[in-house]
Amino acid sequence: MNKNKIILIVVILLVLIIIGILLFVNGSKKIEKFYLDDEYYNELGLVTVEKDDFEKLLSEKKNFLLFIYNDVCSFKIPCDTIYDKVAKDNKFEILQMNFREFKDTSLYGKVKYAPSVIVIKDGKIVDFLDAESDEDLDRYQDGDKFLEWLSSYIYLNKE
Amino acid sequence: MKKSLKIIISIIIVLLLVGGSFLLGKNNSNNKLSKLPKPEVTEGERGQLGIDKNINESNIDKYLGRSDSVYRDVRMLKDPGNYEAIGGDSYLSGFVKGFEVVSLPYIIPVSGLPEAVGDTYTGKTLFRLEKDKYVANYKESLDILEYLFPKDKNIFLMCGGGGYAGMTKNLLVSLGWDENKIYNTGGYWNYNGKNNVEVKNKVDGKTTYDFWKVNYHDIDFDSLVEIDHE
Repeated sequence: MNKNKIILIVVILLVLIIIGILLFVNGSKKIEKFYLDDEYYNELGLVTVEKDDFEKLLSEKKNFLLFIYNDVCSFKIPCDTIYDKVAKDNKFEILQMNFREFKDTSLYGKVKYAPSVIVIKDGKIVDFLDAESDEDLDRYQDGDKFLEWLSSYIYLNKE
Repeated sequence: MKKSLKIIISIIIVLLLVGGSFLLGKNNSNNKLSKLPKPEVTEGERGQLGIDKNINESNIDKYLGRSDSVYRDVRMLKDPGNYEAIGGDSYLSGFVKGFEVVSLPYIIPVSGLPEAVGDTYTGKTLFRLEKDKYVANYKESLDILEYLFPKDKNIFLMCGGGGYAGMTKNLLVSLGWDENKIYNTGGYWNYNGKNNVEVKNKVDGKTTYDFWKVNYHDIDFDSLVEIDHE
């Protein structure tokens, strides 16, 4: 009898864990558009951020975009040229940081390679351009494709 | 009491067997070189540089120190380009232990750098590009290349971001090296392993570089015999 009870409890626990995992995974896939914090709707384009200030933004649960870059961009058109233009044309700001500095931040590891643009909401990563993904390749060189990807996460204009 | 004692002894024996097998396996793997995965280019932007999917900055530590391989970092010690203009570093600020430096800009002309960086090294090179083919500038050019990148060894390449390493692999393959023995392991800028060797120091606000730590292969062009192509 004792043995059967133990087996029953283990099975129930496993079922609960599986349900929990499924709910978590489904929950995390839901994309809800959001606004950047007010100060990032301007015409500055790319603006450098220092590591300490960046960590402060995360701890204050801010909504913003971060572009991380290597010393040399391997693309025909340097990514910063494209992103700066897109940001200025659409009047929003993207913070930028050298990847060497980014490696000392708390987000390194979740984003392993540069270049990348990271979408951050409430101080957490929502999505980012993956330097190892063919799907993201166009978004590094085509401003329209980059904007299309970005606008699936953020409102480009502050009403 | 007897039954529980038997159970405890059985568990101890199982643990000893498992632990012993693990240690035995580990010793064996140290003595015998494990087979390397074939070079396979990753996807995305890193794939454009030719960075390997299976052996790169994230796991190169596992493949260091092999007797059947050589490790080459193809950056310059001090690049003439102004990388500081884009927040970078013109100096080789560190490297992965075991990698020896052979500067690609001394082998072939390199181009395509950001405008703000300006020109990199534009001096003498072992080879030049002529109608999409690499042509030797010196009688010794190919010998030097074969010495620095032995054809009978696996060749692990690294640079800052993976670009120079990719160019080096392309060069070697075009000159007859086996592409299945060459790995573009990516860039030191992405390396976060346990074999990092710092070269850059900052003491009392002054920056210095310990280049004496670097196993560097210099090329003395004045001692080479130039080929007259006219």
